[in-house]
Amino acid sequence: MKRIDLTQAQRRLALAWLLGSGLAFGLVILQSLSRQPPFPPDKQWQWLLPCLLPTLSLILSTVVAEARMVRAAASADLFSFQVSLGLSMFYLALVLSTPLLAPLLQLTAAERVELLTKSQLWLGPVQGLVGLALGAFFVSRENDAPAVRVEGT
Amino acid sequence: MAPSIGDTSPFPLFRFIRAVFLVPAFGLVLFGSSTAGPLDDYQGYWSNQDPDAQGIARLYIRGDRVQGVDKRCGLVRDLPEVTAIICQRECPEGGQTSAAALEAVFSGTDEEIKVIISHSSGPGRLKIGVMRRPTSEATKNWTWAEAELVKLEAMGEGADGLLPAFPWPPPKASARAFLRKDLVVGNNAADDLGKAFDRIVTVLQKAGFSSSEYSVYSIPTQRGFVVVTKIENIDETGHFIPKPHRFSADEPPASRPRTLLEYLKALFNAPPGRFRFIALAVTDLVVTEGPVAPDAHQLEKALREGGKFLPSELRQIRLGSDRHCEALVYEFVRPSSAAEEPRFVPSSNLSAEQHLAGATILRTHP
Repeated sequence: MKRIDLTQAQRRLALAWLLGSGLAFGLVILQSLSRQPPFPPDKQWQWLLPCLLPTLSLILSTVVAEARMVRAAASADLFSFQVSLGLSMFYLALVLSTPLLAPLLQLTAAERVELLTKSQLWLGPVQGLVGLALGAFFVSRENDAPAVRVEGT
Repeated sequence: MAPSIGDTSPFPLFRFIRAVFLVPAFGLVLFGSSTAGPLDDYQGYWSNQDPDAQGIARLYIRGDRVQGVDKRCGLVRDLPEVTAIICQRECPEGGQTSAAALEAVFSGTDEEIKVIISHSSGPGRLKIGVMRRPTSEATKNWTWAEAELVKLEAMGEGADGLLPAFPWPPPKASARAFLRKDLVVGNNAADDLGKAFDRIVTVLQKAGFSSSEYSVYSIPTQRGFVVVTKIENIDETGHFIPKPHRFSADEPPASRPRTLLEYLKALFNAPPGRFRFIALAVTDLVVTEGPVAPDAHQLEKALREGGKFLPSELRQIRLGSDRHCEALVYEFVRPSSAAEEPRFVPSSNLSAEQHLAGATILRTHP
């Protein structure tokens, strides 16, 4: 079974999530600041935050926790990492596609609001799969040496 | 689907038993728990507040006379005035006459409608049970439906008992204009309100307003009437957005972007929704504006409460030489999205004539 360096894998995942979330946050901030926002800002933020924050905070907290440890050579299953990264990118693309596709769908104002609600139908299950894949990835880690907590950091 | 009562029995005895026992039995089920109320409390205009509800949409009760408006499959029709049967009438000496329920029977050529009216739990509410059966079918099964009607607030002081009253002075308008005399009120002094109303209806129908897209209200002391059109989706030039978005409170979809620049513009900017109501007041009173700005929801609600025709008592009235028709345009804009309430535009960028031309009520700009 092929393995990948855990720190490197986690950083790649964190990078993908930070990039995707950053784009989504940036887009929604700009739309909210518009004089004629295409979505009601409160409803759009109510939609976006549950889509991104749970997974994003999980990944960031893991990366931060790992950074506080000194490891010899921790590794994780490569396939689990690839599935996690692929699903994460797919999910982030789905999240971004909701506001990005709205202008092309010729929707009324009420239908745009409905789109946010409807998108939960496909975003929810994919978000669940991303969570499962990330869980499998973290479980697949193997420590070659005992972890040591870095003092004073 | 409404439940069905009755039988298909060819035996007259069974039909007699059904008529004598079964129909009143349903009335008892519905109204058995309700208490008798003063007959005066039944009086007035009553409306079903659910705009999508089928069946009796409005009732007007005056004494023991009942008029109704029936809505079935999108068709609205007026039920003729009938004398109601007062159930369990009580006339205490020196007290008010009370009744447990009123029963009005509207017999049409195609359908027989029996409406049992009783007081509901809350004040200003009536409970109705509506029984229908077709007159043509051999089975003649009754169908049964229930609804709650709310007393119309518009039917307040100043109303003449014939129509709900339009707020007077009218709410602040976005734009106002006189309509040419020959267009509505007529140059002939002998023309009555009925003729003016018919001309308005003709103009509105030519402009694409069906009977469900306008309502008529009285003006205090029978000095005219006001016809209010349904909310209209308009563009920035005042022209209405074609159907199916014309009479919608939701702005139409933006057109599909063709270039990257158009796409980026659409991504960050939604076109604002523009709406308007037009009130055509025929009166010999001086029309002034009230201090209060109208609310789009109030106007929409009022439209459901208005009448669809001018009662004969009002039709016969002849106004004085000051008679005129004035158009009041109420424009609303929703700047961003569906979650925001449309805001009243105190002063429209367009003139009332441009609005009327945009609605094709006036064919050309004067």
